[in-house]
Amino acid sequence: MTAVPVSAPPARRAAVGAGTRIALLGNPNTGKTTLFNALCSARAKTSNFPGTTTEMRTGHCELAGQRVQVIDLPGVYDLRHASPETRITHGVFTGARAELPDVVVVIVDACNLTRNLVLVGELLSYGRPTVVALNMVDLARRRGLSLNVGAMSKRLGIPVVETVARTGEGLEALRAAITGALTGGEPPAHPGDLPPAGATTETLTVWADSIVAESASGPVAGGHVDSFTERLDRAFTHPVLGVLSFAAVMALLFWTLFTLATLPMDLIEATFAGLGSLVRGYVSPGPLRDLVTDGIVGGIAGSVVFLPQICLLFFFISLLEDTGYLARAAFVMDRLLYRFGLPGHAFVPLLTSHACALPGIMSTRLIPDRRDRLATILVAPFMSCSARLPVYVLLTSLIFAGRPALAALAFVGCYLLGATAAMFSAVLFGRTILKGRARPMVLELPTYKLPSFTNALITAKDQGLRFLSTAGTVIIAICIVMWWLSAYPKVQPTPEVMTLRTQAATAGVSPASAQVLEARADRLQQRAEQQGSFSGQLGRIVEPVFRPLGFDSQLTVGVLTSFLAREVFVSTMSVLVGGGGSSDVDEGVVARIRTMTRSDGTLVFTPATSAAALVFFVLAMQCLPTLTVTRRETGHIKYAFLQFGYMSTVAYVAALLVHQGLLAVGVS
Amino acid sequence: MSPHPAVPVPLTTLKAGASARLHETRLDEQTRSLLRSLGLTDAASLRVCKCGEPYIIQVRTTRIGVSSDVASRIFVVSDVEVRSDDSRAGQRAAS
Repeated sequence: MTAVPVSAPPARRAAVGAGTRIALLGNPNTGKTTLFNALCSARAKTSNFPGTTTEMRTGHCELAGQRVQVIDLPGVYDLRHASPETRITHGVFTGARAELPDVVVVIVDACNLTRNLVLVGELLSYGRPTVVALNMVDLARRRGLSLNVGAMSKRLGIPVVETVARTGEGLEALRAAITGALTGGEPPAHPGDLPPAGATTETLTVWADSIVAESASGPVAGGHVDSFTERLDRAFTHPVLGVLSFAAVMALLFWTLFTLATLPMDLIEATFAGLGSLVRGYVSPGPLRDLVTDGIVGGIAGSVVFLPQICLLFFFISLLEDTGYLARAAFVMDRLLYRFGLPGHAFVPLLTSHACALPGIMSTRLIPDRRDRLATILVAPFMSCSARLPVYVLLTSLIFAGRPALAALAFVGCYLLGATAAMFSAVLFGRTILKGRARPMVLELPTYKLPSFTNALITAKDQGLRFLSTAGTVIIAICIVMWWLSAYPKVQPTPEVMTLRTQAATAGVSPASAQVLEARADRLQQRAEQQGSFSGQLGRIVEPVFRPLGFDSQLTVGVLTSFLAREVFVSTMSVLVGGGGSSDVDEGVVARIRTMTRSDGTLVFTPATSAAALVFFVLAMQCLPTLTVTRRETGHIKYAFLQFGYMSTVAYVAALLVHQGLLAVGVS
Repeated sequence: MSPHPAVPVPLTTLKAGASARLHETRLDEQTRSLLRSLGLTDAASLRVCKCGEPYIIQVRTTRIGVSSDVASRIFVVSDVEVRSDDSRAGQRAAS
């Protein structure tokens, strides 16, 4: 894409006002986000650019006593490369996509002057008042670079301010320069030797080189060798050392993630359980109380419980990205993933999906190319997430009762099956709807630097809030609908339940015996309610569809209810056999589920049926929250439908093959 | 026998530490455009920092990682060869 700048000179504002807009622009890895955070503190809002899935952050900062708007534009190397980010930036500077910014602050990496000044040159031809923030000057000085900011400012004809966004150095001077650019009458004349609009990158590079020659001395040319970076790069991209260090970093990341996420997740569950009990104490029994305690409180809990994993993951990804390591790691994984049509960047999303596909899909924002991103999003839910764990535990212990070694092997097999299905699906998508292979890897290897803790905290907070405000609300609604389907219509107590309750209330029955009788009556009632509910009725209606897999109506109900979340399968089965509604897999529940019978008296969980159910659960898209996130991250509902349709079909066919295959070889 | 001077060779034939100038890239437009954005413009000087998977090249102060597949489609003229070619041209001019 060739950028065509606007030629009309901008109208100058006389003063800084509430409607003033400042745009931050810069190459990737220049510390732009850190500078944005430093200017606007934590009060930023993250949203998508209208009609795109590219993120935009807007915040406010104080300038000359006035609150002005700051927009953090996506990182771009120049305004010609055909990428969504470039199109957005181009749209902003031509006024096509948003109101024109009053001042543009270009963040320039002091360690990469020429390449960054090419962008400044392109930008100057758009005629907007511009200020250069020469960032990371501390790193540049440490490398022996000597900068003459005055000379650079004179050549460019615009203010140039040295900054270290990470420490806040130079921020006040930058604010003053922005205020000056806003209030300082006519814009300074742009350099007479500025290449004309539409000049080639080569021409702009020659121009940028001449500015660097005048205003900087030291290691600015290609001959400079940074031995520290060289050594680290060799290690991190080494075929053996690179893989080992990658495995170590990922193991540490996920170990920390799981360890740290457990506590807040337990706290959230306990808090909402407490809230439910509190409501129960104040509201009289009835549909309203059920709606509030089980529907609404349960729904909010079902959404908020994802927050710790999402926030922690983005916190760690931000830290890792800041250090510069992720770019190196992408190359290590590219060797493995490229042959399946996925880019090296896909490793974090795919690995994260082993915890939960929601943060996994959200982290596909790391992948630069849209085709690659879509391919990763579509296959990520094949990875065995932690919600499948209780189901795997239940089904493997049903198949391999008393043979823990075989059960463990089957367990590992489930993980492998999921990962294999993901890889082959990526190949399939690459040959059909997402034609082409993953884009060949070309990446800037950014300077290694210390990560910013503040950036990581702000990223975690922003992504958490984004999740709650978009997908979170949909998930709450889904939870309420699913609860309603499984709770209504209400079923009258069966004669058996009535008898038990009468017995419990009979005079002479000891309190302990009465409690036992009441508990039995509760379990029976729960079972009757589940069978009579809409989801129970639906289970019986669609049972013929699942019959070839060996599923009966009870198992079908279990499959249907687990669309809310897979672990619900265990509690549904538990309720159906007259146990409590807990999703924990304990010995008693397993024993009872094993003896569950069909209407004809035969066992439900024969080895063939259990194996088919296990394969089905490994491969099926049984997570409505994931579909809402897929819709949001791809920007189109058709991908959510495609993901659902494709995964369900694969799961059904695979389970059918397993069941029929086992029957054919005599395993019933 | 050393290759003919100034004959463009794939980046993958160079050793780590070698310097060269870009001759051409036989890549898709998107990748070519990204490389140009990163500073690998026509006749840009580059230094090979690391061979293998990935190749790491340095253009001015920018380090760029490219998969070996991409590296094999980047054609360069080795700096040493350019110099020897230049000196021969100089000798010819002198004679």
